[in-house]
Amino acid sequence: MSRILHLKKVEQAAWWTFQQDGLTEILLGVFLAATAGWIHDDGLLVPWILLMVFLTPILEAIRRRFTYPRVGYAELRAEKPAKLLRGIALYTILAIAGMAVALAFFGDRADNTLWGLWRQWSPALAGVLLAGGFIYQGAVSGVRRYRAFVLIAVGLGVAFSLWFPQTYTGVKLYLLTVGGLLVLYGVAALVVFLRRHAPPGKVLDGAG
Amino acid sequence: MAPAEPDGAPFKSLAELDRLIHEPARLSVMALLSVVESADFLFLLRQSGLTRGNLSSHLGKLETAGYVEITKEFVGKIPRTLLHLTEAGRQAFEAYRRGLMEVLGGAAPARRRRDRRPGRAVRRPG
Repeated sequence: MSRILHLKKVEQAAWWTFQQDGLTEILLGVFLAATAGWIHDDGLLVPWILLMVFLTPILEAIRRRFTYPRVGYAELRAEKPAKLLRGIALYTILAIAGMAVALAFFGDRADNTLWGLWRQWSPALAGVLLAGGFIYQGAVSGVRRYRAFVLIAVGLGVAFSLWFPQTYTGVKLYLLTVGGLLVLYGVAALVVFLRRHAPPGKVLDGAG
Repeated sequence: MAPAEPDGAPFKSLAELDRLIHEPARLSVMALLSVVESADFLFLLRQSGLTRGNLSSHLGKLETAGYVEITKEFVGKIPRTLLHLTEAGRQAFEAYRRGLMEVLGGAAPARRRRDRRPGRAVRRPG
């Protein structure tokens, strides 16, 4: 291990301190499963929107109860929201444009409409979009396992696109599968986190 | 060309480093606080590996110097001590970091023990 005091690594370690509890993955998994539910049944749109709105407050509330009392609390120097949103928008546009170009050149139009091609390859597009999130997480935390997440998200996306060419079943099953995997990973990470870190005392910071 | 007579300049630069930050425990605290907006006592305790008493003592010195601001708040009924670097603290840490890099930046890396043994000297071209 490097013994050099590298500020970037100190910052990444601070970030990882709060990400190691697996809660982000659990909630992301639930959100993906809910998205599959909404695609399956339009009636679930309102619950899906509510979940999207309250996802961050829910995550913060759970962390206040389980994570901060164990590892402490720090307000991280996050990207400015406008810059982050610009980055996400640019990545999404590039992913969709890349998909459009790929379909235009390599899409099999013999027995498929253009819309059908988009529908078929929607799991792959979802995988590429998810991969963007994992790439960001990997960059800010310096944790290598997010590279595996990127490969799994994209790999399964392509696989589900090929396995279910005609219907929306592919994207629904893809979201359920990746969501389920994320929940499983998150629960395992949470169990390890809770075992590794002492239960909370009465005083959060020990200095009161 | 003969090397210039040593004038002790690098060592004078070392002496100019901020001694308050130069202490390893306080350097750890300053480095940790420099990468976050604010942090509580427990976070610094876990990350730095210092004891509670040690950390409290060093934080007191940094607070006295005006480098760190300490505020108390309650999360529900539980007290939390939040700490953050003041502007003076950020500037002092940045100046210390730059100063240390300037002093050590041009230094040749220390040779390993095995390279100093007879017959195992590093072969130099020419």
